[in-house]
Amino acid sequence: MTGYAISLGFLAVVTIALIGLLVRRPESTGTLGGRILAFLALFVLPGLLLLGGAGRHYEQAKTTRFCLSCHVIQPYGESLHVDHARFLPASHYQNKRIPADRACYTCHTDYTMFGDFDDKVRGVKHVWHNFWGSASEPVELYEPYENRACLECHHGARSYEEQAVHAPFRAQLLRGEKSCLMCHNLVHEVSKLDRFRRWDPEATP
Amino acid sequence: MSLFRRLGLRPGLAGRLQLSGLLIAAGLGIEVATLYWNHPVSFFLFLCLGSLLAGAGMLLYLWSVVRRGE
Repeated sequence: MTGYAISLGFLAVVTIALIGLLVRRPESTGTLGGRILAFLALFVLPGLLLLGGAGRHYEQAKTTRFCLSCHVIQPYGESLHVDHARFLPASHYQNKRIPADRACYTCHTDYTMFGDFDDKVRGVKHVWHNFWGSASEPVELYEPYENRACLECHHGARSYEEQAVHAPFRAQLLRGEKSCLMCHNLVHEVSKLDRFRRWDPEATP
Repeated sequence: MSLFRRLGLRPGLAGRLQLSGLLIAAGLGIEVATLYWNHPVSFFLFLCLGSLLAGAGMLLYLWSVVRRGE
C-alpha cells in the first residue's frame, strides 16, 4: 500500500466526517463559515478525491497483478514462466525486456495519444463480457495485434535494425502491412502450456 | 408523505444539502473500499458506483446553491 493511497483514504475519512457534521446540522450553512465548510466538504474535497482516486485506479490497472487477479487471464500469466527461448511473452518477461510489474500493459497498450484511455475502455468491456458470459473461449483480442507495440521499443534498437532478416520487411512492418507475429509466432499458447517446462528463477545457480 | 420526509431529511434547502451529503459520503465510502483492492471489479465499482454517487451528490449541492440564489 503506497503513501498516496493512505493519504487519499485519510482525506476521504476526514471528508466523510465533515459531511456527517453537515448532515446532522444542515442549519449551520446559514453562517458564512458554514457555507465555506459546505463548499469544501460537498464540492472541493470530493472533487479532489474523485480525481485522486481515478488516478490511483488508473495506475493500479496497469500492474501485472491487476490483470492476473482475473481468473480468465491467469493462464496467460502462467505463460510468462515457460522455459523456452522462442516463447515471446516469456522471453520478454524473464529477460526484463519489459517491466515485470507492468508486463501485460507494456505489450497490450497501443502507444497512441488516447491509448491509455482506450485501454481502460477495453478493460471495462472485458469485465462486462466476463460478467455476462459473452467472453470468447479462449480469450481473443478485439483487433489483430499491432506492430506498434513491438516497434515502440524495438524500432531504432540495434538488435532489431541490424538483423539481416528484418531488412526486406522493415518498411512493411513499420506500415503494419506485415505482422511481427508472422515469424515471432510462439505467443502465450495457453492451450498447450502443459507441453512446456517452467522456468524456476530460484533454481538458477 | 414526501421522499425527503420518508428518508428522515428536512424539507427545502437543508434537506437537499443532507441528501447531497449522504450521496457524496456513500460515493466516497465506496472509493475508500475500492482503493485498497487491486482487482478489475474494484475499478468497475469505483467507476460505475462510487464516482456516480459522489458526482450526483456534488451536482445536487451545486443545484441547491444555485436555486437558493433564485
